[in-house]
Amino acid sequence: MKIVAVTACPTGIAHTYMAAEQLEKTGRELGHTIKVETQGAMGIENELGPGDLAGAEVAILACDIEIEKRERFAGLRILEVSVQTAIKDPRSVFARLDQ
Amino acid sequence: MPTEISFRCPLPDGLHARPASLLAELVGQMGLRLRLHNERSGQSANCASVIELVAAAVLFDDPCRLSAAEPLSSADFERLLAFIQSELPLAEQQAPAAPAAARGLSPAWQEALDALPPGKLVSGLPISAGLGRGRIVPIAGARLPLELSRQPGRDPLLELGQLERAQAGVELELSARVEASTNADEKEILRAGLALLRDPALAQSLHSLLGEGLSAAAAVVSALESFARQLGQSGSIYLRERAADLRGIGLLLLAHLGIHTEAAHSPQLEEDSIVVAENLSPAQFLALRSHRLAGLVLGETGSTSHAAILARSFAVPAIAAPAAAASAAAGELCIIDGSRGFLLTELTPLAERLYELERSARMERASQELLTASSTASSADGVAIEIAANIASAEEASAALECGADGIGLFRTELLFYERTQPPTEEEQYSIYRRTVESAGPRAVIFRTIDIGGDKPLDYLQIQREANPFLGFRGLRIYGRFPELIRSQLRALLRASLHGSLKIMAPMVSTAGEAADFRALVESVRQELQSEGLPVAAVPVGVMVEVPSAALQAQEIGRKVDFISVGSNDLCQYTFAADRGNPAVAWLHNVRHPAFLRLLRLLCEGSRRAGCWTGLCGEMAGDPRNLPLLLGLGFDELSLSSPGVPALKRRLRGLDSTSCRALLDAACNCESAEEVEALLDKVGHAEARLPLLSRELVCLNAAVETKAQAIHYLCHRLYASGRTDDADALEQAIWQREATYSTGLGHGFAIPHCKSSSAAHASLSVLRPARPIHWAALDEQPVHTVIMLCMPEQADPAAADGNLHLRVFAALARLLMREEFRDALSSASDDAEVCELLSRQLNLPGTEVQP
Repeated sequence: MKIVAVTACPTGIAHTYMAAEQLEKTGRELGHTIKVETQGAMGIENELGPGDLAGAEVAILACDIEIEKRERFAGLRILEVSVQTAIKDPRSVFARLDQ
Repeated sequence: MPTEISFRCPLPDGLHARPASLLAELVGQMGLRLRLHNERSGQSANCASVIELVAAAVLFDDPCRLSAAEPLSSADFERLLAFIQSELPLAEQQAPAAPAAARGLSPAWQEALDALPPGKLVSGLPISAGLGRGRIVPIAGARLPLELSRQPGRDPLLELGQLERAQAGVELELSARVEASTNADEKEILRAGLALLRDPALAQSLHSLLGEGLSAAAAVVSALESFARQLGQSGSIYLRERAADLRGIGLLLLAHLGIHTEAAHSPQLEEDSIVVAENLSPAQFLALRSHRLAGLVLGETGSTSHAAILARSFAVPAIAAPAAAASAAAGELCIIDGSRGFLLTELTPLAERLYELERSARMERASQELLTASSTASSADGVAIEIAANIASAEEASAALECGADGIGLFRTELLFYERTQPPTEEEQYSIYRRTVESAGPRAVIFRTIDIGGDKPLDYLQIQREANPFLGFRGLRIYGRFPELIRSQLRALLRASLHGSLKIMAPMVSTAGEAADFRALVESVRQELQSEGLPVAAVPVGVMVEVPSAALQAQEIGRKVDFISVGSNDLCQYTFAADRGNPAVAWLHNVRHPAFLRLLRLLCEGSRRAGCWTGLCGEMAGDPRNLPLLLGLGFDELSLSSPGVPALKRRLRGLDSTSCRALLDAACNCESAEEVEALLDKVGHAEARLPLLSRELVCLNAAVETKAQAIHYLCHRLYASGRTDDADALEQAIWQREATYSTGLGHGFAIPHCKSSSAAHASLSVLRPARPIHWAALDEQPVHTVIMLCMPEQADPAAADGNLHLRVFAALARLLMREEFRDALSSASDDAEVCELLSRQLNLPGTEVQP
């Protein structure tokens, strides 16, 4: 499955990147194609462009705050989870894709 | 011809000591017999007496009336009216350094307090910050022996003689202590004591009590107790707190009358002590002060009492709390916290540990700061400026050098000439100058020769009062008329030159001709000494530039003398023709005004062309905000009061001289001081950057048992290593983040973090508790490794750098999700290994980590 994701936590120093790491690692292990954008203290990094969004089936938003440029995901299936869930139990996040 | 003026008191704190003394001084100068009536309370006071004025308890908005014994001339009437309308409202007491606001307790201290047995915690108001540990010593406060108040006297003349001797004795004692003191607050408070002692109302009351047949001691007790009670009934806290000052003067007088009360005798503290007293007079506090005084619990006092001001000034932790509660623990070992406002009367192991952690962090920080302060300072691009201290007595020299001063930039010698009936002899001066240069060791001391005149007259010189003393006969201008005075001073100075490094400087020079004359005078005194067979070392001769004409002739002056020192206070006053002590015009006096900066630039360009070493002593040097301008001007030396030395050196190390020169030119081109301020706001505050991680930030096997203690521990480590100036605020910021959700990320790791203005440097610190601790982690497992990340709030001026730190934190966050990394970090056996692993894995540039 082609998946895009965004992570964002309140301080943007640590949890944003932990969640990104977990989603990337687990996604690959499960055989998905996944790209994770981070919205942290350094702003948007690894930004999802039109090419990334084209053909994507689902957007995972692991965010505890309002994210920027949410409109990009209009028309896409959106799965919202907390940053903590993404860090603690990333497999459960992907399990919800099959429901 | 009017005889009365009515007004309402415009002062929010009422007519307290400072405005009262301004009024008394004015009325004395004008030679008026004037009374002040408080129409609200019905009290009235002689305007020449500060005590009576203060005792009239004039509060904010009280209707008042001034009435003169004789009709007022229209000039006098206008003058008084101007005083009441424009000067009095501005005579507000300078707020004493605000007491530390009662902070919320840190969770670690809260744990310590919760663990105390009941009744062992005394809460109070914080009045002087800091933490102390010692045994409780209750003492009698400022209390007069009232049982003496009716004691009959022998012959009234005999009693009067005794009283006068006691008054002279106290006067001498206080004056000597004012002179010996190296602490500005102490000096000011002792001077206020002298003013009370000389007050006409006190003298009058004492005399009339003696006339009633009382003994000298009884008169002292009755008079001061009655004045103190009047103040005690005042509606203003400020005035109530002055009662202890009056009783303190009474105790001093009694001691000089040979009556030793318990209160007059402060105990010698034999071990670290926390003194408990209902209140303390300034003299009582000063007698107690020693390295053994670990803290102070005051009863009825507030934060503006003189004892509280002195406690802050000498960094003695103090709280205001019911003294009875604290006294109950007499002899017990206690901990006082003057920042958070409590006294622990029983010590638990946790409280001891927290105390020890903070104490050692403070000591580590202080010794580190002293080390940096005592080395010479250069700007970031290598331009060195000597940072020296201003002093007024031999005793201050060593204290100034202890603060890190590179030398003494100004020794004001005129204080040696005050309050005497004749000038000090050559021998007397020689011994003081010699002592000063000896205690300064290899560092130079610049002595300014006697600087007096019509504004600060000396009885024995008989200089006539002038209409305009500031434009009159003062400074070096008087030397021609008093050749013996200056020659004996120069002889003493030149003789002292054999004992250290000494420079001589003349005040109030206006022209190059005067500078040349002064140099010739020093030379003739040198030849005189040599002809007497007295050896003299080579002594540089310089002048102080404090008159605009001298600033404009700096080049010519610089060719006549060895050095120039700018007196910024007077130079600025003369430039704007505005007395900074006069509240009605003080606003004009502004060293950051472009007009003044242009004058300084001309001065410095001139002295540079002459190749003349140029310094600046004056308040302009003391404000670190001016430093970019002063660095841009190219000064060789800056001299200020010694406590400011470390901060100035720190600021200098973060500045760039090239951009400061550009800043100065831009400031000179501004039209107003506001524009200059805006330029200064933009000056980067680039502190020398500390590496993100260093070994001292890795704490393995730490004695912490809870999450709260772990965070507290790390924040104090950051304080100890100079990475935050406020460990408590940093701790608060960390807890604010914890409140959103736990930073325990599972697998035994936690990463508390914050972005906060209280973090001065981006820092990564690591703590491994002796035993795993509970952290409410995602997987509910105990935590064995804590990694704390702190980022400064301010966007770094070098943004790339700020991002670099964030990038490192982001990389670390990702690494922690990998098992191999976690295992490697957990098995690192010492701090060096932890540092090495982190810097390798995070790819930290070599300069960032110093393992």
